[in-house]
Amino acid sequence: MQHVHSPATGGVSITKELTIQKLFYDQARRYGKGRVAMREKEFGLWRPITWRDYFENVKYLSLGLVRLGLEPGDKVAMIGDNRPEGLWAEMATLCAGGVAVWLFQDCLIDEVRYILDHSDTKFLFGEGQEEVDKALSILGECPQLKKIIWDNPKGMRNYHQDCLISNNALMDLGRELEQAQPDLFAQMVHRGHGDDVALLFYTSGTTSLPKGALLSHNNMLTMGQHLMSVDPCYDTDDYVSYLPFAWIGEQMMSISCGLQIGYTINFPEEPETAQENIREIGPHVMFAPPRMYEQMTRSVQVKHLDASWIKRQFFTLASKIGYHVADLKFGKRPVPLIWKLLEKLAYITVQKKLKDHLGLSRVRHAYTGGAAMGPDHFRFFHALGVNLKQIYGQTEVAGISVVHRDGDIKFDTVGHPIPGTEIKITAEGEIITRSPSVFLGYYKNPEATEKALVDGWLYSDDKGFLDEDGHLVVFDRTKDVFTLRDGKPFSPQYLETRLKFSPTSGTPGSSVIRRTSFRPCCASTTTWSANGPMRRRSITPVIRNCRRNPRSTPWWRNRSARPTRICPMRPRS
Amino acid sequence: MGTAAGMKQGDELLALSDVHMHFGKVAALSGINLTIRKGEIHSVIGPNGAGKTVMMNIINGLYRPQKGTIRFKGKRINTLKPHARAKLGIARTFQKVEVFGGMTVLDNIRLGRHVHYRSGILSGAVYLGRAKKEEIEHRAFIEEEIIDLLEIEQIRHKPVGMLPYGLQKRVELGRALALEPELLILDEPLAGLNLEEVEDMARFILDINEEKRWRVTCLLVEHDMGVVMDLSNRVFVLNFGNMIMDGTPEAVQNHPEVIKAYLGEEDLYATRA
Repeated sequence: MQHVHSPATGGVSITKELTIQKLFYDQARRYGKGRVAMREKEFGLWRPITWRDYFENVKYLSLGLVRLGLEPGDKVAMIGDNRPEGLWAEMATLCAGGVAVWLFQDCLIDEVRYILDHSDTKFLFGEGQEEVDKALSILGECPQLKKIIWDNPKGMRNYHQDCLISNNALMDLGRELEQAQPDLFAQMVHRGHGDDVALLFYTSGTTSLPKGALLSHNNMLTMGQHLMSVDPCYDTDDYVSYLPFAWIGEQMMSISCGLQIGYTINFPEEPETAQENIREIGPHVMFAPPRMYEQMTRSVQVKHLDASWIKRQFFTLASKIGYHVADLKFGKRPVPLIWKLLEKLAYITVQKKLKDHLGLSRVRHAYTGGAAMGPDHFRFFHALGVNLKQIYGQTEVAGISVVHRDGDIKFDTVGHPIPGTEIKITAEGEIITRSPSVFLGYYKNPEATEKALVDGWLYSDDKGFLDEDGHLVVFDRTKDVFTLRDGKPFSPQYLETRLKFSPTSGTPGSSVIRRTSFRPCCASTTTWSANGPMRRRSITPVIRNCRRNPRSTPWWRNRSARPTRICPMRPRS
Repeated sequence: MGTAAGMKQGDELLALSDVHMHFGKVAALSGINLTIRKGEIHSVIGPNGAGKTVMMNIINGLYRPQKGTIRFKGKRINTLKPHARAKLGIARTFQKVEVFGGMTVLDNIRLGRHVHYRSGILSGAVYLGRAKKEEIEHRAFIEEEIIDLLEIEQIRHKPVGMLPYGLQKRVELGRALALEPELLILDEPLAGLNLEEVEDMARFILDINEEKRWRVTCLLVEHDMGVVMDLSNRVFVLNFGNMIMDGTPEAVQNHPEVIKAYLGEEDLYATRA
């Protein structure tokens, strides 16, 4: 049992009895209507949602689920873009004693079918017509699925199936139940234990079918606590939630950290407006895959080339100053006064404006993870004065296990383990982890659990080593590391990350030829997620999938047909 | 604006009776009779040069027919200018987009809203009282009803001239919707769009026609037979200024003269397929 009291972690004491829903209950009562829990940009305006609103919505959704027949331990799946309703649904599930399962919003029908069926999902929260279409098309193949809940009415006018219910109707059911049993919600929230399963998260399954990792309340809460003991957050901070909730990193920031510290979570208007909305909010903490930072670098490089002569000169001078100061800091050498003054000058003339344009003006800690990032990108952001750090983690440790510390950043490493976490390298060079956040096992997959969890140690299937300063160096996935003729191990990723900084070679589609065949690993598809922490999905399965699933209705009537838009043939009856 | 008092679904909204239009010795339209009922999507198809756009221009008021009557909601509108017809509730988009390229998306859409402004130049200039209240109401309408519907949040402040063609078409549709029309004339809304844009546009047309908030009657000129046959309640077939037939999509598809004049013997309904 652990007891930690620290203002940096919100003063929350993490015990084995504490669950996410109990913490939510306490925080909501503590902050009430006086503090904004989340904001959503809607119709061009940022609309605040107070902790009281958050609590009320979760309460009624939760009671509504109970009214529909949710029992403790039942699985409830969520799919859709980042929006307050998604978080409410997850919290409502936990409050009712259920287990939350998140799906990526662009999951193909086959994946949705597999995950819903494998997880025995009883209720599905979909955002709107697209998600409802997906769910309806597989309803018959997922016998456990009872109801599909939607919140966006756009396009839903002709959907009258009994298995569908809107968020508002579900909340009305919750209100009715509350009138009959006013204390039920508080009773539901206060039962449960920290070791109970909270989340069932499916890993990407690039090599086989996705595996469902079971994460407990304690896993999630200790993760947030340990991360914030390294990099403190405050309840006055702003965080922008735009990465998929189905990615553990987003859960770590929004639930593990967000709930403990009580910072404001901001939801962009649309996924396409995320970058613009980040600039409007100016978050204090940021977590993004390398691709996002690489895009920022590229846009600065392009704008620099297009700028006028005088602007280019200022930028070049400020960059030189920035790079020099950053290099001094990387080398842990003192920065002389003259360079401090020049740094100030560079900040006033160029960096301040540039950081503002990138939405980084208030960032205290910026993290990157999920894939490797080249050293040039790191230097670029540090030269701008952005405290960018590499992290290493996986779904099975509820987020991250290793992070750079302030003032101790090395390009080729991912830093030191966070408190409470032990890292070891096996004789074969595999990275293994032990911490309170290590998951409970894979759902309905004892063989995989046995392989991944040995004596409390999590076997990551990643190759790496610890350098002379105790920093962890992650080489690559075991299957991606191959041996050269002279016997040395080689990782294509190492070369790729360095190629990407070049404005000419860093274009989407560039990649290093792998051992057996070409693999588009430098974001050959149009979504950045392809290179981020999300599934690496080549375009071929998409084509295959749409050929396997000829649609009976015209494609513009069926939003779930969106992923098949690259299909050249539109079948007609 | 809003719906016409006393009108309900299925009532006659627009009627062309014996409309003739000549350009010199060329007869673009010869005795056209067309009735559009409230709530329907009525499509007009025909080969190039059949007179489809001329027909739209007549309804819209850009052309005045030499002979025949145009009635909108039972009122003869032959002599009304385009802006007066817009005020009555007739909006349109164009085959080749006619947007203001130097203005932002929001400004283009706001332009379509001008017909609803009641405050004068002076109060608008000082932006007080009624002008301010009106501006806020109209801005809310544009954001909540149009930008959200057409999913153009990410480009609302971008100059239209910088946007791809498909998005420009969407902006033009947004401007027409800002009018809150009762009859929306869509002149080849899918021309030049890629498959994904066609998919979006077809869905928007359905939304505009079927959503309770809008329920706009649509007059659609289009060459994509797959979309036309699926969306339309009725299809009007035009050939060299003459009507071949006006009926349901099924009847049109099976009409021998239509097949001969336009559709051809092969299966053309699966265009883009």
